[in-house]
Amino acid sequence: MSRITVHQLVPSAVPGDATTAHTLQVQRLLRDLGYASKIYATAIHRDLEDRVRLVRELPRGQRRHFILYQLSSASPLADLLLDLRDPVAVNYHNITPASFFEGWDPTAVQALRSAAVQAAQVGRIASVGICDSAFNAADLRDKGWTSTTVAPILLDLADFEAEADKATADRLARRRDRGGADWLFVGALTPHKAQHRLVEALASYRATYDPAARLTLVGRPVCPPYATALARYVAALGLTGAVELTGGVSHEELVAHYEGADVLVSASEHEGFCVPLLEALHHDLPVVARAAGAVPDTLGPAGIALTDFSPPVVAAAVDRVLTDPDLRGRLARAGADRLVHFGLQRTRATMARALKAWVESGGEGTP
Amino acid sequence: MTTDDTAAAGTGEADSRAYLAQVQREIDDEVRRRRAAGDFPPSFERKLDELFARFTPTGTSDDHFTDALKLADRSAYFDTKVPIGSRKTAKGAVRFALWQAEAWFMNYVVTQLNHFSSSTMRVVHLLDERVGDLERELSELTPAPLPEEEVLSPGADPAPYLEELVERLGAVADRGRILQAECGAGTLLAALGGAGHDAYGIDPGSSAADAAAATGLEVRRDDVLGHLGSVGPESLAGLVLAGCVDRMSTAERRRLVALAELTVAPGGLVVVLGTEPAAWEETVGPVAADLAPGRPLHPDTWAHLLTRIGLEVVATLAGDPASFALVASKRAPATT
Repeated sequence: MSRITVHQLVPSAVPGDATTAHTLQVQRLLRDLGYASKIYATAIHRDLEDRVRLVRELPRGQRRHFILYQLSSASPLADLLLDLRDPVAVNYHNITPASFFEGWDPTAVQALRSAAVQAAQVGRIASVGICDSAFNAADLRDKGWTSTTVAPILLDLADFEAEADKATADRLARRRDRGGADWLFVGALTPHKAQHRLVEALASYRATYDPAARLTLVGRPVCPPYATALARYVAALGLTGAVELTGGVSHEELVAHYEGADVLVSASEHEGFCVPLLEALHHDLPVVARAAGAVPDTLGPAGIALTDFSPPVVAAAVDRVLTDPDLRGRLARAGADRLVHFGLQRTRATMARALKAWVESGGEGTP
Repeated sequence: MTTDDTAAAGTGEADSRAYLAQVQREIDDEVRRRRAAGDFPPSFERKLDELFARFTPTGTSDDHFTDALKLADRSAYFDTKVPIGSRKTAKGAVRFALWQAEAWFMNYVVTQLNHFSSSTMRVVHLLDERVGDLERELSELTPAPLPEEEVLSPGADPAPYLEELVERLGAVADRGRILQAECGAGTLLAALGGAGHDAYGIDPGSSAADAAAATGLEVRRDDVLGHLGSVGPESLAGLVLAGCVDRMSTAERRRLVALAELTVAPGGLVVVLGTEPAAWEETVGPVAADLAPGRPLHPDTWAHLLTRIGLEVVATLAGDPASFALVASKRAPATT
């Protein structure tokens, strides 16, 4: 008797991308569970060509496969799914509401609207939506899905044991010698991540608590008009020397930034999970974040989640976490617990239960 | 319960969440304290929002108009040439075939679009020239502001009206807070507080206001128009306007009375504590009087301005020949 096959479809496979890393982890899990499993994508980075295949190679009409679709953006893969007769489940990583990009990027608005429509359409043929967070599960139900379950993203933080990029680490160390706290945010420069709110909070913090404080914004400028506006805003506030926009960085450079920071601050207004929170906890960084989307669920009691994210409140919160050793100790202990909660061993077990229940139901039932 | 007490209470997640809730309350208290001390003026946050709005694609203004115009110029041309360059011969051939099939129709449509966009851009450029001319003329008409020390006058002294103002404002104090702008040494604030009413003041910055804050009065460092712009609608029981009313320009006074009408609750009071124009000229001298962008108005003029926006003048108090206190009420909605 041949092995059960569970293939994954993902719009694109790119090194360093959270969805791609998760998809590779799920493939490893599926194989450990005894299933045959391959990954198919419409676009593949050359570094992943030996691990991911083009979607046109997906075997069709021969025998029944189980299809797990990694859904986080609009893709022609969604139309392909509608034509398949194989059992389909969706691993949902959230779709940012298009309204965040209105007035900034009409192309992104159109793509995100299409993605939301596709998510609703796929819900009619998929037997279950496996969601990173309860927030994402609620989002799918709002899109008309009736069967959802929560299984957190498979994140291997051991990757961060890599050596930090030496040039970056040296540069940050020289900067630290000048004094002042170092704020860090990691995420693409987009309107919904609201990096301009962090700039405002830094201005307030420098005016009140620490005139030498700095902010490093690590992330690719995926919405160019927003990135341009952000850079001009920084200049207009006279903060050019205090705010660094790094653009995209290598993994080793990212490690250096985590190791060189004092606090991770997030103003993001919409997050389906927010991996950088866990990365920061892994580096023992205190976290101050806007309590938006899945952030409170991911962060738990391991950081300060603010419902009022006005600049004075953020400034006071950052000052508190940096100057109160008792609070730092409590957050660090809660952070260690959080890392166990989202550790690979536990999240693999949760994901395995969800996948096995789906497969054992023949792709029809609810995990 | 203190933070230390909570920390000792346990290590479970529920305890951690309770501890964090306490920390957040302490952070909120810290912010309230600093806001009251003027460290975080509300107008600062509003100005940040306005500044960022200038850089958004739909918020172009001022000197960025030229940048926006250049951007529009660049995007006002639609290229009819399909990109057919490719290192893979087969793909290039396919694209070339597509180009042959579609080019004539694309060219027809895009030529019209280009006509439309170029004529539109011509109009925008003409508009730019006209707006530029207007800005130049306006800058010549607007006199440069006087140095602050020449413009700032002490404002009317509230002492002669204290008792009656406290009584009148106290009678409506159940409708919200009482705000005095500008509060100076805080004489009226102290009297209102002494009578048990919830009052605070704002001041753009004077040594008298700093001294008032040092005595424990809630005095925030902020400008009047900026602060009123950030106060919630109909949230004030009383609004006392002092100091600034003697030196504002006509446009600023119009905005001031509009904001007063907006922020005072129905049944609440607006008090103008002003200097008599003749007394003001004697105080500041002829140079400052002639060059000031604004000068004190007669109480009749204030009554006219306030009545025009729907307030009812209920009293003009005259306790001192050099000043006046005009009291106007915002009508409460009729009940059936």
